[in-house]
Amino acid sequence: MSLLNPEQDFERLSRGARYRRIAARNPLLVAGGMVIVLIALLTALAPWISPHDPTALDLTNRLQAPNADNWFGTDVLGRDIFSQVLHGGRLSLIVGFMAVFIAMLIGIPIGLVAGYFGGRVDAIMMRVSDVFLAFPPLLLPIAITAALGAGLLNTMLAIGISWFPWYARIVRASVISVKSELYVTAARAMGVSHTKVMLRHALPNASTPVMVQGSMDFGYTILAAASLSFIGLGARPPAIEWGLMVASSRALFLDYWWTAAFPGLAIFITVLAVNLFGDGLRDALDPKFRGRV
Amino acid sequence: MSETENILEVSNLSVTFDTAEGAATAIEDISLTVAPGEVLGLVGESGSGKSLTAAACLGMLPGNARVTGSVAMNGEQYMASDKTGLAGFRGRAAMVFQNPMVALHPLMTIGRQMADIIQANSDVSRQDAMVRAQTEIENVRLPDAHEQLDKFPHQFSGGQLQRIMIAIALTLDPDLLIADEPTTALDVTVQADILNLIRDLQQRKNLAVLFITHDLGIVSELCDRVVVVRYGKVVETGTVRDVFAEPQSDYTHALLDAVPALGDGGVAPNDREEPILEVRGLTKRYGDFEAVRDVSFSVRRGTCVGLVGESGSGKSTVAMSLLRLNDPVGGAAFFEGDDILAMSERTFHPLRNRIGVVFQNPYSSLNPRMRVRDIIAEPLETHTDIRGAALAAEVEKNIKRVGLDVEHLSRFPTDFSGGQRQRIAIARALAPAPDLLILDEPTAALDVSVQAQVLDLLEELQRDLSLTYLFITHDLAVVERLASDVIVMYRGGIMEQGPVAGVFATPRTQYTRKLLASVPKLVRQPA
Repeated sequence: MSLLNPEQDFERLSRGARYRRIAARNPLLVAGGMVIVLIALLTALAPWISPHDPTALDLTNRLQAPNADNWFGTDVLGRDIFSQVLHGGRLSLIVGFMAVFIAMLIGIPIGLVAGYFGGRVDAIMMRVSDVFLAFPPLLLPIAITAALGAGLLNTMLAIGISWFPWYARIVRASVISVKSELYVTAARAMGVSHTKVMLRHALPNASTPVMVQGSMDFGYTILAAASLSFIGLGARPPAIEWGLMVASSRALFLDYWWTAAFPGLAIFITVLAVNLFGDGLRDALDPKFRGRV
Repeated sequence: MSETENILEVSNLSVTFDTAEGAATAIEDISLTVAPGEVLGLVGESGSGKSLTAAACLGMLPGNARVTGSVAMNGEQYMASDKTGLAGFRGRAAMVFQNPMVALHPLMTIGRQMADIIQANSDVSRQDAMVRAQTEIENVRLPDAHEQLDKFPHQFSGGQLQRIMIAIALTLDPDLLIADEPTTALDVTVQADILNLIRDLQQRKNLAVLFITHDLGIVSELCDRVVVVRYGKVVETGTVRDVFAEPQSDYTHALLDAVPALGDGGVAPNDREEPILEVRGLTKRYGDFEAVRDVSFSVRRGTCVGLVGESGSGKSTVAMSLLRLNDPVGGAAFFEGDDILAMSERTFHPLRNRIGVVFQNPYSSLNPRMRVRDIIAEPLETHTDIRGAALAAEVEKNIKRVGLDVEHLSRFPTDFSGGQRQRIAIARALAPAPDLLILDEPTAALDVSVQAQVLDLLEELQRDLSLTYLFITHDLAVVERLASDVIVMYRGGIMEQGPVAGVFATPRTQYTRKLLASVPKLVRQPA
């Protein structure tokens, strides 16, 4: 019977079976997810698995090409690049995650309230957040970090602040469509308070696109953080961070390619994996694709 | 009847879908024939495979369908798996679908769309194609056919669009018209017009029609023969008169019994009780549009009052006003003597658990992310201090009351069928022990056998809990079954109100008469 309505059929499956089916139909989602987990594990376990101390100087062993002892070679101060890449990933991932988290923290409540109440509330909140959209994407974080001072915490704040309007808009749009569902009307008819209707009924059902956007943005924020570090506004030495590593090898990489290539590759692989994951997630959760055989 | 005489002949058709979970059989061994000039009703509930059968005949199944059996038109036979061969039947067999609102290109005029189709199938000039289009529009009895051709789809009503769809289907002079629930999305008076039109065209052109529907009343009025399908299999086939008078299978029997029949006289009115709800002069405007105009009625305690009307009549707007979900511009509504429309939200709040509501679409009225337990507990948490074990006991009491099990509580709404979901919605409405229940088309989205079960449940609950119902519906037979009094609304105003027996037996207004006459009647006696 359900064949006439694959979506309904899909809804009837148990949760486990749904996840299995999503996974089977979205190899990108699985592949991206596995790479992300691998990178997260490697960087989390960096202190235990890296072959060298990433900060240990060894001036006799400077700028060595990749070899059996230093798999990714060494930098201008003789530090092991492989160990640095492992350690540097921790900051990059944390910054990426935190920046998205901050953006959501600001954007979701704004979008929720604006979408739910509509009218003047909506107009005011959306115009305010539009102001942040008027700046070119990387210019605003640069301006904010420049004003607040360089440093990792400020980088996260800066990226989060300049990114939040996207979340506000996404949440607002899906809350507006959820608002027309009868369960919201039913809750209002029962006398459930606006706050509860928003948190219990509107937000959970509007969260899918936010999750997708968040997973995609995670990659962009890593990139943005690396860019800020590259121009000297993010992480500062002696902190180790991928963007910073690429920046510090600026003068060298023409002759000593490995100094920039490996941290750059790490950024590339991480962002690619995150984007694949985000794409897969969108396909899996989008009702248009859902339940497709 | 020899084989070559049949327009359509489907033999041993089976359809299996390859899915991630393995093969699922949707249609098993269906055979049917349509003779020239015959109207065959293909009847079944949702998921019975009736639409799929029609799609299979024209080779319109998705790629993961495995098809066996054969299909023949006018003696020209193809294997059912031969999509290219079957595609050749399109045009000779024209289709009309359920929802005419989405079947036409919104940015092209009707005339252009029709002329394109005509030119794609025959070598005629644009001008001749337009003339042909106009003739077809005239054939489906739309006035001023020439002007209609220059209009866009959004300028027509649903019923007019369905006429246009029929006109388009007939431009190619098909031998067979396949109509897939063509009136399900339409109001009952419009449905009657469309059915008349189909019958008229069918007789004038001696068309063969395969009419797919869930409505046994329509079959009774329109069809010559009927094929009843269930779970993808033919349950019963025969002439409508024979099958309906003496159904051979239990399923057909049950299906026929489940159809609420019009003409039983309704529930005896109860004049002793005081009114629990009295509405006076209720008016609601959206901009310049008057959705509800000076509506007054009263509902006595312990009775069921039916509020009937077609789409756009304002009946649901009345419900929304009584639930304080919109702001009427005028009038009063006294609930146990107090005007709820004049109250502040704070004063009205405690009354919200005494006025419950059940909505039409159980697929939308339950939050898919909440467990059934939390859905039923929500009104209690909102209005009472009951928590913990006492709350759990209340929730269990209410889920049992609607005929579901305690074990269902930890599941999500998506795990249930439409009928079960509507039971959950009723349990939620009953949880705070309301006095008045507003039922807004509670059975409109359900299959007829499920509808009968839900109506039984509502009837039983009303008796056991001495509830008062305001029952909003477009279905007059449902009103007659449950209600003692009826209010007929049309374009925002009340046309007529009174005891069901009186209004239905001797309607005073033209509109009520038309409404009553439009309901397809299920005839079960041999004529």
